[in-house]
Amino acid sequence: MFFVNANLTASPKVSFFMEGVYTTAKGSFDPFDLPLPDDIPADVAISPDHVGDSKGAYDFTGIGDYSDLDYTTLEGTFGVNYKLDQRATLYGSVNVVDLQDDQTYVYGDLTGNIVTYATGMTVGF
Amino acid sequence: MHKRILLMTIAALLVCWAPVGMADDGGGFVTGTATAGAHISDSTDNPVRVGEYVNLEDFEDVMADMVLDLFGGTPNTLYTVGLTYRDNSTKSIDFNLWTKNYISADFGYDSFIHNMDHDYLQNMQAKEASVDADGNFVPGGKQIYHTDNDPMGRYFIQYEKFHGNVKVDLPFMEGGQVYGGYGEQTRSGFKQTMTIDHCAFCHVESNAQRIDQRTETWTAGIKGTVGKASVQYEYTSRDYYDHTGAPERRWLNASHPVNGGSEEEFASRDIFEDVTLPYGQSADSEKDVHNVAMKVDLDRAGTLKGSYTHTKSTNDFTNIEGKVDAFSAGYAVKLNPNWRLTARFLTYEDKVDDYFVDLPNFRAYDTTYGNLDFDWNRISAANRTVTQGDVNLNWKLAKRKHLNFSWRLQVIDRDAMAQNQTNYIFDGINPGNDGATLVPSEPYADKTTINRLKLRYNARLGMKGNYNFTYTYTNVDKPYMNPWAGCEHSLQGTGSAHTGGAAEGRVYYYQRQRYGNGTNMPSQAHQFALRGSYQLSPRTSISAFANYAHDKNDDLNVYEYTRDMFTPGINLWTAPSDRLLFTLGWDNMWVQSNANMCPPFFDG
Repeated sequence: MFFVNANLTASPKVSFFMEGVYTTAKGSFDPFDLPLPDDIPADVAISPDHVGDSKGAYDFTGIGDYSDLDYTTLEGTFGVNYKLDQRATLYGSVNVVDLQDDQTYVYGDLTGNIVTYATGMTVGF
Repeated sequence: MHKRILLMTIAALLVCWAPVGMADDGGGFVTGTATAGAHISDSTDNPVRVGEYVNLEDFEDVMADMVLDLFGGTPNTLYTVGLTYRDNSTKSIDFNLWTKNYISADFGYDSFIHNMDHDYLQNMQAKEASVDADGNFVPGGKQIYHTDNDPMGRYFIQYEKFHGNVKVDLPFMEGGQVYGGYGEQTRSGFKQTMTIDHCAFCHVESNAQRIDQRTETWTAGIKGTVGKASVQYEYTSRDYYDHTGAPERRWLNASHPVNGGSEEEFASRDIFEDVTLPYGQSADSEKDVHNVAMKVDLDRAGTLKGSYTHTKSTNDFTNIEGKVDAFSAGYAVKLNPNWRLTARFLTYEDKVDDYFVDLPNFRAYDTTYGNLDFDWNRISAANRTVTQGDVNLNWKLAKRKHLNFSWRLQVIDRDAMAQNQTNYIFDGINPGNDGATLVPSEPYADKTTINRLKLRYNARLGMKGNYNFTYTYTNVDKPYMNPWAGCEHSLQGTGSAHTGGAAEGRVYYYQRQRYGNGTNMPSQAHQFALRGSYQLSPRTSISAFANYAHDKNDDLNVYEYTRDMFTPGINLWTAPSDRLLFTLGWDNMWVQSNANMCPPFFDG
């Protein structure tokens, strides 16, 4: 995960703020083999999906592909503050969160994006 | 709910009372900030995971934002008020009050929403292949399939938490105070619940289940100091309620999955069939806790602490009770200006009622090899007696340099570390000529002994930084495991009733001759942790950390479990000018572990 946060006071009345977070998460199984008893013949096809030999019917080397997780999330916020006087400040910001799902499986494709715009005023007393 | 309203009313009165008191006293003050604004959100693609804690219902609507922070007081009163509103599902309020009139109070409320994923069960679909008379592959009869009765369902839980505490000082006693509090947590919404039919996972059914759960906690206590002894008693009562009725579904008639025959044989292995039953039921429960604690100041001889706790829990659905009795004692002393010793002792016993599981006889129709009685007495895996001792020695090596050594010995003695319903004993008797006999299981009981040694060194780098290093070694004799959890020998011999139609040595049945012990708990663990921070200049500082852990368990009978974890990170703070400020960071977590995989075969 990388993150960056920055604040810039451009003038006595105007300041900018920015925040960014980049996260990747990956997980997978290593492929594995299933040892079988020697009496199982090696030259008999078991099913159309396992062309080759009968030991191929017990081929688990693809399990890692079924169980991969691969998510990338990017979140960014950019905003500006404008100081009206010593007590009151106007603000405006935009926040973007983007998730990329590169290994869709059990929960379907979780890729999604949310954009939020915000504005308002803060008063100190 | 009426209790929460009552306490919120008291809180509101106290909020009103604080400024009134301020006016009476004069010299009051109030500082804070108030924010009012609005936000609007929109989404593309799937918003559920990316907006896991966002109220998705209000997208594309303009929503009000409100934040209030107040800190005020008078010569005799201080108070804080905090309020946050983002949408109807995401809001909080808290109030704290301190007075010189012996009363202090705090109240708070938080709520948020948690969106949950929908398992579409698409992986649960497969069909066996058969060979027809011409030698061609055709679909067979047995299959794995799923039914999602709520395919468009969106699942979420709305969490709400409220607490209110009032404390009254006792002026006639040093440190004297009586206090009471009420807390409430609720969970409401809908979740995905799955059920399986006969033959385990061949048919998985998914439904939406309503959630409406509430936990109430009442606390009352008194404490005070007499001479050199401080004493405290506290009582806690906690009740859990599920306000939903359990959903129901129909379980099919047990029979052969392809031809519908062999009903007697299949039915004899089930305890129910062709019946509508509730599922996903959560039982109401209640818990009472009594705690007495004492602390004695022995002046230069150190400080002595002790406590006793009695807990009783009741499951209102099964009427099973659990009781815990715990004693603890501690002693701390400064041996000399450079050495400090802390010793702690803890012991507790957790005992849950046994439960007699009354089952219909297995294969009741087969009076030769079957008709087996598997009624059994379930002994809870929670039952245990735990004894633990800790010694901690702190040595001041030099100015700003400390070395800390600690040792923990913990012994966990369980009545039943694990207990399977049945064991399959391969004794050549029954059933089957080759024969394996099913017998009610005996609990697997054993002691777990944990020794943990920890060494920590920390030092300051002048006035600009500090660093510390920690090494922890843990040795566990007989860590918790699931004995005979996986891996099966194939049935052997000739003429077995279970080998018809298949070559010898290739028929595997669930729960027969399982022999592999399984766990993800280490018997040995090494942990290293290094962290430090340093001020590079008045405008720049840096901090970094690295953790590495290596766990292994070489006491298992079929494989050696290992787990390695490495977690480094670095943060940088810098202000290149008076008007520009940066914070940068990076961290990473890498975990690798292994497990023994014993996949079950389709159709046995």
